[in-house]
Amino acid sequence: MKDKSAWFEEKLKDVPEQTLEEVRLSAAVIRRVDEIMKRKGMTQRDLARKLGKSEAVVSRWTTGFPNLTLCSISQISCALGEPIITVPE
Amino acid sequence: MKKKTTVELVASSETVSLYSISFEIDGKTEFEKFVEAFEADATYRNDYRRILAALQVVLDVGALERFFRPEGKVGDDLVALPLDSGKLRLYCLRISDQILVIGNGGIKDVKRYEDSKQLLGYVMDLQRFDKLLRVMLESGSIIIEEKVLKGVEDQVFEI
Repeated sequence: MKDKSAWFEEKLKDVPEQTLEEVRLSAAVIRRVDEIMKRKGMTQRDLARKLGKSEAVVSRWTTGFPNLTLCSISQISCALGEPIITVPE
Repeated sequence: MKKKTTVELVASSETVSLYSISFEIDGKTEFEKFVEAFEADATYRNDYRRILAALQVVLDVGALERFFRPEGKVGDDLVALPLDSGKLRLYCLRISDQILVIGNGGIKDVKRYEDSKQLLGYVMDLQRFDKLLRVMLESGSIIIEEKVLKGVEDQVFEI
């Protein structure tokens, strides 16, 4: 089987560190939301109801790599009843 | 006409393998074609770079369900990697948290991919491959061993 790993490594070098950091942060938020929802047995519909948003909006907020605003993160955090991100004091 | 197709490894980490499909007729993987189409595109450069960054995250933590949007039919493995409100889509097959098959993609400026001849083509290629892969997994010609599609290197898929 051909292995394109070296080629892919080269292509990844084109990605600015800031872009990588942004996507990593987005992934971390999504994973945290997913973990809380699973632990509390919440569905996307439950979260949508708590947020007063449509399921389509909640899907956009909780899948993929969304560029969420602090406002959206705060809303989700309140709906889940747990902090999603913390900042060292 | 059916296209002879093989599978190539794009990248792997400790827990994840990223594969892509390659048609014999042009010898490039579908993912390479996606990269060639968008790496120098000024309009979509940011979306393109964020998609590559997302693939790096997948290599780091896994091809988790929540990272993707299901785009295919019920029961298939087709997903898309869109980034937020961006219009660039990369279509993939999420076989498991540890195995992702990357296809081609493009600008989704229509409501449904079915409305774009180009995107529909990319999606159908992956769906046909997915169907054949499932048959081979069921027959044991290919075996999933954690992050590896064992035996896939010996197979030529006619899709």
